[in-house]
Amino acid sequence: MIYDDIARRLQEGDEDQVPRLVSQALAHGLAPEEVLEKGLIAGMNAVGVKFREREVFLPDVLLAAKAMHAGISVLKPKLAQEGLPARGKVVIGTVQGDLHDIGKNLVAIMLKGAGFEVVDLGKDVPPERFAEAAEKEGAAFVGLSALLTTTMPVMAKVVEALRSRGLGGKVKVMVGGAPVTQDYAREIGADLYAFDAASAVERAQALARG
Amino acid sequence: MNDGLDQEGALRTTAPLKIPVRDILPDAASVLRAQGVSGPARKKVADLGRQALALLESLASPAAVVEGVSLDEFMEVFRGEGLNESPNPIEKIFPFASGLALFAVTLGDKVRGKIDALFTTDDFALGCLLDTAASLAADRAAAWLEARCSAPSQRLRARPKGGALSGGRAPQEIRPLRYSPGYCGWHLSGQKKLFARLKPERIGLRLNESWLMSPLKSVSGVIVTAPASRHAVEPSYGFCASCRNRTCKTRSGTRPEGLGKEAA
Repeated sequence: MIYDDIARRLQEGDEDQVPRLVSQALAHGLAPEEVLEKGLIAGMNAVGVKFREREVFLPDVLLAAKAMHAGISVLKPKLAQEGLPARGKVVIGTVQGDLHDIGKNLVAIMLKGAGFEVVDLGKDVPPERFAEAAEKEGAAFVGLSALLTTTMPVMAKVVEALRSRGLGGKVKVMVGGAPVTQDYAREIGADLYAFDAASAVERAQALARG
Repeated sequence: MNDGLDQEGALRTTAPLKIPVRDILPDAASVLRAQGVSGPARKKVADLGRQALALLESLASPAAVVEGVSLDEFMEVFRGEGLNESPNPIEKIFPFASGLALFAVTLGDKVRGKIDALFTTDDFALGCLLDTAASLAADRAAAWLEARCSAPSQRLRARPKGGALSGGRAPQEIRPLRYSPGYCGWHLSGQKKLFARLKPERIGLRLNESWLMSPLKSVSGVIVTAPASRHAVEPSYGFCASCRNRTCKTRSGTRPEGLGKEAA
């Protein structure tokens, strides 16, 4: 079955074969959202499980993500015609004052791989910009990353900025980064804490499922 | 910039130093290990690891500034903005130092630019491996400096300028070890006074309003040359609970391979 082939090649990080197979599937008249769900997302989910169980490692996940992006670029025009299957939109960024963005990038890549639509605001992002983007984009989540104890307090300001726009509770806030803890997340009124990129995806998926 | 070393390889200058990039390149296995790869990596991943190291070698331009200070001078820098944790292990170590040297080291701007570019083109794995390799290299660059502060000859220009150091030269193993703002209770705001004193802008380093250095892949702090036993820290302070680094117990006795075998 072509979906299995796509998923298998994606797990191998084959950035040449995945888009070729996706094109082939579309040429055979298969529905783009099925190609996405049963081929690409199924492949990324399998990589996620193997990563959690330490059968594969971060570089393998990232190679798979590159193959996934190559596949999505083929699907995108078709999906745009039919409307993206919404698993939720996530606004993500590294908070103001902080320039570390590798962790945030990994979370963004893995969320995309799990079928979320990600709006990446980059690094050094002021609180108001998160709130503004969450409102404008109709985001289900806002993901905040900080790698410094001195920039962690900006996360609380983002929570406050969302509340002052009437988005408190409606837009879920997920926080993570080396100095951030579950206790800190609770203290500032964030909805979710993620220890790493894999747990960020799991928690976002759980919340999206309700 | 010069290499700042005498014939025996010891530091002898406070002018900006150029560090040979080959001296600080980590090996491919360390890079993969730091990414969680245990056991043999598949060929594609191993190839990317080598590619990341080649990129690092071509793009990094490691440079450092280092300056020996007296105990009083260091205390002023260490006090920073008055935000340090108390108690903290560093304040229990440096009074016994026979040498104190402020330092800052950077790999330069190009590596960071390349990492960003790789993420933009979806080359996530290579970008991430380069990021990890650069982090390891920055740490090795700091270790390179540390190795040149090594006992027993105490050749580093870290001798006190005034201000008597208590403890002096203990009749036991002497070991230089680095400590940085943001770790072990030394508040990150300590960067402000460290920068004011050391002026690492000379090697292209800048400090933002959160006291974060840019370019990333830079390390700053103090190298404390003190009896080895003084460096042994028990991670039992309140702030240790939230520390994910936890290298305090191992790093006092080790140094990355190839860096300063001559050191204690």
